[in-house]
Amino acid sequence: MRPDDAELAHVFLEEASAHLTVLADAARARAARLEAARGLATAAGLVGQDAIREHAEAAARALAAGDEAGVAAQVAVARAQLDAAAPAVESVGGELFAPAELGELMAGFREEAAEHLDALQAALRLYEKEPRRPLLDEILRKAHTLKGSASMLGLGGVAEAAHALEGVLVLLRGGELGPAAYARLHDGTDELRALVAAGADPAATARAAALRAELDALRHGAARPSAPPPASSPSAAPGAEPLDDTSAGRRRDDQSVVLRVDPTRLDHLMDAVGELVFDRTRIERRVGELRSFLRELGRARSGVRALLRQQRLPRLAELENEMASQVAHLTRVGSALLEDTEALRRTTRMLQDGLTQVRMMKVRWLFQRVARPVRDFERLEGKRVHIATSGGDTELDKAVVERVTDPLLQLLRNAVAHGIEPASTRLLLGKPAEGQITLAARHQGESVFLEVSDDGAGIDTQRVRASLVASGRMTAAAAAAAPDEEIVATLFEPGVSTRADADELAGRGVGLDVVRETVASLGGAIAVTSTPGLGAKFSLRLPLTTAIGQAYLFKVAGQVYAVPNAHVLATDFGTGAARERWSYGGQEVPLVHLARLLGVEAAVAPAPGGQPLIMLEFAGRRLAVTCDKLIGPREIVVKSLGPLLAPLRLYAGATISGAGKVQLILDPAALVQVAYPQAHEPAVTSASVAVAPVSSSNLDPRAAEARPRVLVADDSRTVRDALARTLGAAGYVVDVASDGLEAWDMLHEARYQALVTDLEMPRLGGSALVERVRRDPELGRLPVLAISSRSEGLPGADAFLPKPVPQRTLVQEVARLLGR
Amino acid sequence: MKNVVVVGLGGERHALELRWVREIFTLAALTPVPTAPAVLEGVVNFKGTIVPVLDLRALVLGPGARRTPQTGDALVLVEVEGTQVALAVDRIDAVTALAPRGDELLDPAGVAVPLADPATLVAAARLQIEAAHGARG
Repeated sequence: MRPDDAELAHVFLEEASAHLTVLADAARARAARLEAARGLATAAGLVGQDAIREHAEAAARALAAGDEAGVAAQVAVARAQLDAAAPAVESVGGELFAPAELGELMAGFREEAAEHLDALQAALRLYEKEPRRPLLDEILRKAHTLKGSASMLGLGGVAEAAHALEGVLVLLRGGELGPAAYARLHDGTDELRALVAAGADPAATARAAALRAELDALRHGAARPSAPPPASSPSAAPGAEPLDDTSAGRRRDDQSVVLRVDPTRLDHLMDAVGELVFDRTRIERRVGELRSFLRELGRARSGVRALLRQQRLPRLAELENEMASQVAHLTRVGSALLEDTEALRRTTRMLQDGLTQVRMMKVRWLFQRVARPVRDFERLEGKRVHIATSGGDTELDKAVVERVTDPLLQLLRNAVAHGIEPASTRLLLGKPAEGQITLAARHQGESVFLEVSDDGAGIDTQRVRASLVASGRMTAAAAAAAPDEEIVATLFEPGVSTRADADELAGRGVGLDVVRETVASLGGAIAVTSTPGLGAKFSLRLPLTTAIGQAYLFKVAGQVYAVPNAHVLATDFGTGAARERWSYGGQEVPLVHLARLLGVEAAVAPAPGGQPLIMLEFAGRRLAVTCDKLIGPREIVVKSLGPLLAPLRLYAGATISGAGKVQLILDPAALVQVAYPQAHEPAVTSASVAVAPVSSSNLDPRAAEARPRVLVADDSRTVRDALARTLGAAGYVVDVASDGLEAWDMLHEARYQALVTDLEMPRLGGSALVERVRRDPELGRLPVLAISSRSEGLPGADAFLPKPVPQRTLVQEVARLLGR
Repeated sequence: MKNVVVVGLGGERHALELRWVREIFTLAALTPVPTAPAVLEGVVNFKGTIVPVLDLRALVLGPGARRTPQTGDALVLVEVEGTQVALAVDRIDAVTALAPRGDELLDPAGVAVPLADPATLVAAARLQIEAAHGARG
C-alpha cells in the first residue's frame, strides 16, 4: 500500500466510524442520521468499499421507513465490513516509521499508555465515590491523550476505542451513569490496556472494534435517565482497609501537600544524581592521588634539605624554605579538599535520599492495581474471593513497585486458581464459602515485606514429593526424608515450576521461578510457608529503594559483564584478534581486547561469523571492545561495589542476575582511558556526554549551526518522540517541551525557527501558548504549526494539521512555514 | 573472657572477635573481579548487597598461603565502619569465649590462639587494592 493510499484509508476509517456512530444513535434527529448514512455511502464509494456503501444505503432506506431494527442490522454488518478493512490500515504506522523506529515508539507508547490508563482508572474510582470536576477533567484528558498517541502510531483500533471511551466518560459530567456503568467502564479500560499491549496485532483489531461497539452501546444506553446518581458513601468491609483512598481523613492529609510531578522528570533527576555519584567518586580518586603526590613531594623535599645542609648554598636554602611553606600550604588545601569531598558525599547522599523519598509510593496503589485483575481470575475459576489488605500506607520505590507488580499478580492468580477451594468444598470443610486472600505490607529496616496469604488448601507436599521423584529430581528415599520446608522450597526452582506438568506440583509451581528471579534481581528474596488445609503464605522481602538502569550485557571468559547502554553505539562482528584498531562509521577507532585487559582467558574460538565487538562512546571518544558473546540490552538494578572496591576504577558498580549472581558493570570512562592512554586528562565529566551530539548525522558542528531549530510541544511522550524523530530525520534540530509553559520558557532560552504545538496540554494549552507568542514583541512572528486530534483549527497558528500526522505531510508543512 | 569465632587457616587457628561478626554463611556463586589483587577472591550477593570476599589466609599468613575459592567455603561476614566484608576461611572451629593473655587468647587447653583484627585486615586489603590500581595507572 502506497502512503497516499494508507492515508486515504485511514481518513476513511475514521470518517466511516464517525458516520456509523451517528447512524446507530437512535436518540439523534433522523435528518442527522440520514445525512450520516449518505455520507458513509459516498465515502465508501470513493475508496471502493462497495459492500459498505450498499449497507449504508440499505440503512438509509430502513431509517426512512422507521425500521430501527433494520438500521441496527445494517450498521452491525457495515461495522464488521469496516473492521475487516481495518487491518490494512493498521499497517499505516509501519509506513510512517521505519520498523526499528516504530518498535521503539511502540515501546514508549505502551509504557505511556499504561500510565495514562492507571491514572484514568484511579481517578475514575475516586470520581465514582465523589464526583469532583477536576477529577473528571483529568480522566477526560487522559483518554484524549491516549487517543492522540495511538492514532499517531497508526493504532487506529486503539485510538477509536479510546475515542469511544472518551465518549462515554463525557456522560459522567451529567451524572448519567449508574454504578453498573462504572463497572463496565473499568472493564473497558482493562480491555483497552490489553489492546495496547497487543499493539498492531491483527487479532486486536477485531477486539478493538468489539470494545468500541460495546462502549458506544453503553453511551446510548446511558442517555436514558434510569440509573440513580453514583453513591457517595462507600462502605468498607469491617476490619479491612478500603482499597481506594476514600476515607475522608486520609484524603485530606494527602491533598494538603500533594504536588503532581511527571515521573519522567524525576527519572531524569535520578539519572543526574546517579551521574553525580560517579563524578564524586572520580573527584575522590583525584583527591586521593593529590594527597599521595603531596606525600611524595614532602619526602623529596626532605632529601633536598639534607643535601642543602651539606652543600651550604644559602640562596638555594632560602628558595627551599619558600617551597616548604608552599608545600605546607598545598597539604592544608589537600586536607580541606578531602573534607570538602566528604561534605559532597553527604550532600549527594541527601539528594539521593530526598529524590528516593519523592519517588516513594504507597503500597496501597500497588494493591489496587493487582486487586482488579483478581476479579477476572475469580470469574475464570468460578470462585468467590475476598481480598483484605493491611499496611497500605507502607512506602516503596516506584521502580520496585513497577517490577514487583507482575510477580504479585502471579501469586494472586495462583492463590485463586490453586489455593482457594471451590465454594462447595469449602462449605464441606467448615470454611466460609468465600475464600480470603490477604495482602499485607510492612516496613522493617531497609526492607519492605509483602505477604500474600490465603485460607485455601495449602501446598500438598506429598504431591510435590511425588512429582519431584517422577521427574527424577529426587530419589524416593531423599524425598521422603526431606522436611516439608525443603520440599516446598523446590517450587521456586527453575525447571520444577515451568514444566508443562506444573499442576502436578500441587499446582502451586506455576511461574514461581519467574517470581523468584524477578524478586532476586531486585536484591530481594521470597519464602513460602504452608499449612495443609489452612492455607499458604508467600512472603517477599524487597529493598526499599533501587536504582534501575539500562545496560548492555555480554560475556567474557564465562562471566557476564555490563556497560551502561547509554554509551553503546552499536555492536558488530569482526576478525583478526591482533588488530589494534577497528573501522566504525568511516572512522578508525581503538580496539580494546577485553579478555587481555581483564587478564582472563577468552573463549578458545570466537563464534563463527567473527568475534563480537561493542562500539562505545564516552565523552566524545569512541572505541571498540571485544567480548566472547553478546547478550543484549537489559534493564538492571545498579548496585554499588562498596568503599573497599572503589579504587578499582575499571568498574562502575555491579548488578545481580535473576539467579542471584553478581555481574560487574564496566565503567566506560575507564575503558576510554585504556584506549586513549596518551590523553592524561581525559574529559570524563559526564555532563559533556549529555551536550555532545551523539547521532552520526549531526557529528559536524558546522552542519548543526546551519540547521533550523524547531520546538515541539506536546504532552504525549509518544507524539513528542514521533514528531521529534520525523523532524530530526528531515534535518532539523528539535527540542521538545511537555506542556505550553515549558515551551514558553524554552522559546525564551533559544532561538527557534518554528513551533509545532499540540492544543490540549496541562498547565498551559496550545491556544494560550500561541496567544502569548503572538503578543510577544520578539516572538510575535514565529511560524506556528498546530497539531491536534480535534478537527478544528487554531486562531493565531499559521497552519493546522489533524492527528495522526503523516511524516511527509509534517515535514512538508514545516518546510513551507520556514519558506524552504 | 572474649566472645570469638575460632577459624581454621591451614593448620593454624585464629580468633575473630564476635562483635565484628554479622553472619556466617557458605560460598555459593562467586564472581571474580579481574585486575584486583589476589587477596580479593571476588564478590558475592549477600541478601541484595554486593559483598567483597577476602582471602583471610593470604591476609593473615601472607601471599604464599593463598587459597583457591570453592563453592561451599565458609565465609565470615564482618562489618567494619559500616562496610560489610566476607572473610573466606578454611574451617569454622568454634564460637566460644576465650581468656585473653596479652595480644593472644588461650583456649581451654592453655594453647594460644592469635586474635585477628578485622579492621586492620580490611585496611591492609584496601592498601593492596589501591596499590594494584596505582600500578595500572
